[in-house]
Amino acid sequence: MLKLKELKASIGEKSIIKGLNLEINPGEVHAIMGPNGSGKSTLANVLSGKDGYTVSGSLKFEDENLQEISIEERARKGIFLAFQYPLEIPGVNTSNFLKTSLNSIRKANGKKELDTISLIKLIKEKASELNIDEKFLSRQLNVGFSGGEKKKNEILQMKLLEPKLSILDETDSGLDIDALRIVADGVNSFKNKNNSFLIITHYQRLLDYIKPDFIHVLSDGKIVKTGCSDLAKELEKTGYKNFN
Amino acid sequence: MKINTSKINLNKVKRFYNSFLENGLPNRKKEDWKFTDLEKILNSNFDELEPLREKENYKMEAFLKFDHYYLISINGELVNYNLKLSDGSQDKKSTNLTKISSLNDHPIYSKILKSDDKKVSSDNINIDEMLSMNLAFTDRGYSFQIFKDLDKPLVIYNFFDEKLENKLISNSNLISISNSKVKIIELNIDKSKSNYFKNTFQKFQINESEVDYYFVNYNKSNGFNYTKNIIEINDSKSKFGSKLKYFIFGSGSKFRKDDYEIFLDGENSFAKINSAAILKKSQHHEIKTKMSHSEPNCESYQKIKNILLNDSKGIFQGKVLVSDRAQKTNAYQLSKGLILDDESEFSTKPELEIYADDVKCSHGSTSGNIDKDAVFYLMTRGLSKKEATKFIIKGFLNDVVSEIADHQVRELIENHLEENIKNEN
Ligand SMILES: Nc1ncnc2c1ncn2[C@@H]1O[C@H](COP(=O)(O)OP(=O)(O)OP(=O)(O)O)[C@@H](O)[C@H]1O
Ligand SMILES: [Mg+2]
Repeated sequence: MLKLKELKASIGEKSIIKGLNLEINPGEVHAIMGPNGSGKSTLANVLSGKDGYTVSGSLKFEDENLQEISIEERARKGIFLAFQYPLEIPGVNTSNFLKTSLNSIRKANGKKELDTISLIKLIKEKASELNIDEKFLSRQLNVGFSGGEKKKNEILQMKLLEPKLSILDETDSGLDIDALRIVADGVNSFKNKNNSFLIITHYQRLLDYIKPDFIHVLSDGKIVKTGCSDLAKELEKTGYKNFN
Repeated sequence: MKINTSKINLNKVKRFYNSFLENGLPNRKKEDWKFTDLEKILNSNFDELEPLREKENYKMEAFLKFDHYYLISINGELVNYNLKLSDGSQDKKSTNLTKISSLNDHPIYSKILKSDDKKVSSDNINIDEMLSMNLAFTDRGYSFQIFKDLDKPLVIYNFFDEKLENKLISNSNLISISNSKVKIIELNIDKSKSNYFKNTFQKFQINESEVDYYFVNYNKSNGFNYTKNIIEINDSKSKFGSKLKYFIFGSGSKFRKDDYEIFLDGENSFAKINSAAILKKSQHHEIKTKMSHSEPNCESYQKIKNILLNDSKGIFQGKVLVSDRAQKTNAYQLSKGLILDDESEFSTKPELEIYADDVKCSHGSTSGNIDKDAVFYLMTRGLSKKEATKFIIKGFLNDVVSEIADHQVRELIENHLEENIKNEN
């Protein structure tokens, strides 16, 4: 599904991703751990198509060259990024935004756009699965949401848009114990043999709930080690000092 | 630029005309015109202006779909109205329900013409260069009074036609509302194809009333507009106070300076001035306010929001004046510009002049570019850049739009803003 070869990304003079190789197949869950500033969010941004990076190497998503595809096209093809810091958009009603987003993705995929009633029903259903109070849907998008509420709202969007590749950038940070469980259940119930996950996290706690097939350690813009779930436990004990 | 007076008789208004000639058009050396050099703007857009004298009287239709009363003017001249109340009573029959007339019986206008003073002080009117110019050339306008609650909105349709090239429209309106609860929508519908200049003097008297007033520039306009509004909010008896909510939606105008002097002259009065506009293609809009609190326990709110692109200019000059009598005043001011390119500008000049000690006043002003990360965020959800930008723009203006209580009016405004967002970027 996703194939990265010798991926490099820099901003101005600063190079951040320095030759990264990664392959994610359908149905796989990959976790990325790594010290602050190692380039995890940058990788997520580059995969989503954010402007401002000089990118080289090969980026293939379902055999298409991602570099030629715009941000919204990537979203429509099934790449989803749950932001580390979701943005507040003043004056934009959350459920209006969700409706527009869902329909633009459905339309691009040749599906019929949903009418308002079915949309609302669907949104409410997904929200209740995540224990999100309906009143959030009539609020302005992320405005004044607590850290954890913002993260849950990201997962709500993921569940609505049903992406093929979900990149979760520290979705667990800021969630309380119950919310973490709900979010993890949300991910697990959505997981199937066709969709894949790239989970960026600092803590193995989340990985207790969502079992990754691979764990990668990202350090200074490169994957320096790949292992299975034991790697997270090891890191929890020893930290990243062995990788610097 | 000169004004061609060859076809008009200036006898009765000689002194205003002379005073206008003496002072000329205001330029940026004047504090009040610091951001809007009218002399320069008119000079670069007109060689000659000719005062409009033709009066049109063809039929224009009220066209808003919801149930409403209406008043129709063409090029500033009152041509038709319908204030038939739902209970069957009509303006003329029922006692003093409403009275509508054209300029001839405009009480303030005739009073100024008769008086010799430079200043008609009792009416809060100061005869400056723009008013001298207005008085020298005014030949049209309307005046109406409302004495009773209106059960439907009153829509003022101001049509401007194709025959206005290089014309100067000077008009004078008086709106007087007592003991009533009313909603008024003023629509400017402009069919002009080339530049003209309109200099309007308008006075509102609001006595023990609740007024929601919406000014909407209905479509694109080649008019250059200056409007001076004197708004007196009086309240002698009631303990609730008069309430004015005034909304300005000027998108689509090439040039406008809307100048408001609001007098909160009755205790417990309330005034709100809100504006939301999308400015583009070198458009220049200024809103200037002077909110005078002269009695205790009054509240005023001002909120101005501009989206700017393609070399446009937005300006807010807002002054709040609190007299020593006006204790327990609440006065707030907020202006925000969202700038979509490098060529556009949003300027503000807030001023507070406070002589009472027990007051709450604040002003804030920000201007900035669109948040690229916010656009990115929305685009990762499948929205195109255009759609994402539109969401952010609408969200930015929503602060003002969401304060429109009436859903029919809100829909009208949403469409108006939508049109103005759509036609560009
Ligand atoms: N716009 C930018 N300009 C300059 N440097 C940047 C920019 N964006 C990111 N960086 C730098 O790139 C490096 C990687 O940042 P990134 O956000 O990808 O780290 P991260 O691994 O996600 O860290 P964290 O665990 O703290 O979230 C950091 O040193 C950061 O300061
Ligand atoms: Mg990060």
